[in-house]
Amino acid sequence: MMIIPPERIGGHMEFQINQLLRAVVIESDARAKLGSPVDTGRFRSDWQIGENDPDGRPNIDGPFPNGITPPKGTNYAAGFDEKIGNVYHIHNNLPYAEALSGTGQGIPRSWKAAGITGSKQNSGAWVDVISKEMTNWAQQEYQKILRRT
Amino acid sequence: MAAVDLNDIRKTIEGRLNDELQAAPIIPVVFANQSFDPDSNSSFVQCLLAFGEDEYLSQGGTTNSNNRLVGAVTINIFTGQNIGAGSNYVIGNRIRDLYNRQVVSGVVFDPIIGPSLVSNPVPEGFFQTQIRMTFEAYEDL
Repeated sequence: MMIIPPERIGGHMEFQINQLLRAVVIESDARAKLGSPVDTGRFRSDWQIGENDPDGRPNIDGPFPNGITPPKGTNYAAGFDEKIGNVYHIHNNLPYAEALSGTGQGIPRSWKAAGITGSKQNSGAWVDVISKEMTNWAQQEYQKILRRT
Repeated sequence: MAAVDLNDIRKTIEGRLNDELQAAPIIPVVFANQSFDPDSNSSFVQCLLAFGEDEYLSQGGTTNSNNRLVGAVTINIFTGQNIGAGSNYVIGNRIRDLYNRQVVSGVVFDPIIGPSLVSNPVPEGFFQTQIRMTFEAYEDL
C-alpha cells in the first residue's frame, strides 16, 4: 500500500493511468502481431498505432522482417507518449487486412477469384478475442493500481 | 463449478442457436467442420467459435484456483439475393436476442456486434450479414 498525500492524488493517478494506457497499447499491438498470419510478413509488419487517427500508409513491397517489429506510431512516439483522453487506433491499412482478421469480411475480389477466403493459420475471429483479452487485462491491471494506492 | 469443458461451452452456444432456428420458420444451421451444400435463394446460418486464452483470476495451482476463459462467436447469416435485406435482419434479430448480454449455463455473453453487411459473400449468390460477440466462462479448480 502506498500512502499518497491528498494534494498529490490527482497527479499520481494520472501518472498511473497513463502508464496503464501505454502498457495496454503496446500489449495490444504485440498480440495483434503475434496473432497475424504470416506468408511474406507484410501483414504482420504493417500494424500501426495512431493517436486519434487511424490513417497511415501501408508498407511498400518487401522484403519484410520475419519477427515481431517494435510498435510503429503514425503520428506520435508509440510506447512513450500515450496520454489519457486520447483514442489509440491499432490498425492495419493493407487492402487485404480485414480478410485476415478471421471474420470472412473484406475479401478482395482478386482473392475470391483465386479461391482464397482468408488464412488457415489463424482462421477464427482472433482480433475479437484479443480485444476481449485486453479489456479483461486492462481491468485487472487497473484493480492492481487501486490496491497499491 | 470445475474445470471448464470446452465441448460444454460449445454445446451451450451452438445448442442455443440450433434450438432457436429449429423453431418455425426453420433455418438450417451449419457449424464448424461440417459440409453443407446450400440451395440458391434459400436462407442458412453458419456458426463458428474461437477460444482465446485462459486468464488467472486467483493465485494457486491446479486446485483451489480460479481462471477465466474467453472466446469469440462468429455467426454468418445468408439469405437470397434481390429480395431486400428484411428477411436477413429478421433472422439477425432472432439470433441477437439469443445472446445479447445473456448468461447461459455459466457462459457470459457480451453485447453483440452486428449484423454487419459482408461484401463479397462466400459462397456467392447470397446476401450475407455477420453477427459477432465475445464471451467468457469461469472455472474453479
